[in-house]
Amino acid sequence: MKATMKPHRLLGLLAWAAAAALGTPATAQDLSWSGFGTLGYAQSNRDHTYQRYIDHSGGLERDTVFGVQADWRLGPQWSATLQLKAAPSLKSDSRWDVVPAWAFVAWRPTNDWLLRVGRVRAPLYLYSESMDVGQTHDMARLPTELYSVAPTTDIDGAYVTRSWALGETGDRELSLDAYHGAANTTARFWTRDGLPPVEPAGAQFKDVHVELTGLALTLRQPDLVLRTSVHQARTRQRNGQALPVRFPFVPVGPGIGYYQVSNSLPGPGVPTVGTIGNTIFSLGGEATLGGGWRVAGEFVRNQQHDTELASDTKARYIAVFRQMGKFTPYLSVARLDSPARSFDWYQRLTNPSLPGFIPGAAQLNAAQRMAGESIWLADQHSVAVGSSYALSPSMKLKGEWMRSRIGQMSRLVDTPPGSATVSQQSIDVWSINLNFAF
Amino acid sequence: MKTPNKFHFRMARLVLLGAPRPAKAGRPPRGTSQVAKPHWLASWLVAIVWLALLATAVQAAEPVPVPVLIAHPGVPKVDAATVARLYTGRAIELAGQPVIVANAAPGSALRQRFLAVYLRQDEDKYRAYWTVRRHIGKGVPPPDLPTAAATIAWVLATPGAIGCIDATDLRSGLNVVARP
Repeated sequence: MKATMKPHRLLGLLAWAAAAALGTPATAQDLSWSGFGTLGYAQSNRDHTYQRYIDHSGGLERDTVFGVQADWRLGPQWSATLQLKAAPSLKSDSRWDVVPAWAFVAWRPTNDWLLRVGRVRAPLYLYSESMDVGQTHDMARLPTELYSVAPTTDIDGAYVTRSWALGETGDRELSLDAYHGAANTTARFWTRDGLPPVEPAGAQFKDVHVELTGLALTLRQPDLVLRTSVHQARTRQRNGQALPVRFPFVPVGPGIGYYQVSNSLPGPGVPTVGTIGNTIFSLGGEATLGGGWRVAGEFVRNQQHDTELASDTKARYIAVFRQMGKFTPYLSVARLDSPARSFDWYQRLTNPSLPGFIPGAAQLNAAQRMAGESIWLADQHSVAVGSSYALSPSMKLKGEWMRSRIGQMSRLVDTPPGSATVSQQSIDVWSINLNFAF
Repeated sequence: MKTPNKFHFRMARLVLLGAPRPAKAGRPPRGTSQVAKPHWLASWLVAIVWLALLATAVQAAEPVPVPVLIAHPGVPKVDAATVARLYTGRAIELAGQPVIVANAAPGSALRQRFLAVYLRQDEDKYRAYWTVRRHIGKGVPPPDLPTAAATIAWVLATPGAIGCIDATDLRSGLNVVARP
């Protein structure tokens, strides 16, 4: 997910950056430009859509992204960065947007302190900060099982980093990041049948407001990167609607009834909260083992506190690389799952609870299904084999075959209207992409 | 390091002045000259190859650059570890004084030597490092200055500046803060 910044806020930020220049005249050396991009094609062996865009007809949308970055040195301790990114929209499956991924002013008073204010990226994952820049890693696609866990990574706020140089040569660095910020972003849901005529079937986009606060501790040395982090997320709908905690069961006869998924339905009332909280914990590392071997792995736990019906997941992956000249082949295994409690709710809500002879049963069953489909659930794992090929120091070609195994179900799969929920199924995905950074 | 020897000069002379022709009496009768062509072609090919080798030898004989760091007056001396931290963006000050560093031109022998001696990296690794660092929002690589004259002028004009030049370009009055 990606937040968007209102134009007046961005202009204000840049005006502040200009003011911070303290009258220093800009020269060609003060402003530097860079760019990056991935032109990626992915195709699966299934008719239904996986990871929002991948199906048997193939396409460029899943992995293609382009970005340009301007870094402006405002003085010995001040700088400003603006990165614009062109990628498929968060608000529509058929549109592309250009959004500021980075837009911040940085103040570095000493070697050890760095303060950034503006649009920054929260360090939720090992490769959070560079995840859009395919040139900086070897996998054709960072494992979606893990890199889709958090509601958003880009926030408008403040970010402080304290670094410590370790060792005699100073090539080891320990850094502690602390940040707080918020983002207006969009959550995508997929409803198989919708609720005609009120809600159409297919993709639905809900605007949400997320507040993120977190800490990350990172050790970087030439042959090792380790990161652990903990974050607190507070999420609410931007339209002011409360979020359900659970749905009470309303009996209408012996052994039959329905779940009250809305207060407009008869029943005791849906318990709700205005804001839900998640705690996200992550642990990740990448180690160079010698002989061209390298291993990377991450674990993320996203724990839900206030409702039984929202995202509550565990994700992990491990990847092994072997550099052989310009080639770096790899093997990765990733898994994403939700707790049994969440699947219980999904089964209860998506299996029709009312027999058809009861008046209004079809509408009630459809409403329950939609409520069930709004729970962020996943039970899947993937195995991927691929390789990158360094065409030059600033360009990589990558190819990958991945097999994803869907268990009970996965929110990363869009079930076509009228079809049974996609479960107990394998999906093969072939990907090839060209990555560059300059 | 190779240096041109008598054999190289003999071969260069062979190319520039021509190979000795066989005596007229030894020439084949008219109409059979094509028999001799492969010999002449081979001679020229050999000469060209040796000329290329000579050029390589002369090039290899050029002195290896000795990267020396010069700085704006008042900047203190630095050790190799500090140089590495400055040129990787992990340090921006020395003894509380803000500093700004500049690199030699990309692809130059001076820069390659500098990266090898002070950072123990090659150009590819150095660029890859900065590609990541830039795109995680932690700064930009040092600017590249094309010549020693440009570096000296920039260092003298910019408070806190540190630049890299070859030892042969040193002149009196410069503040040398690091040598290999």
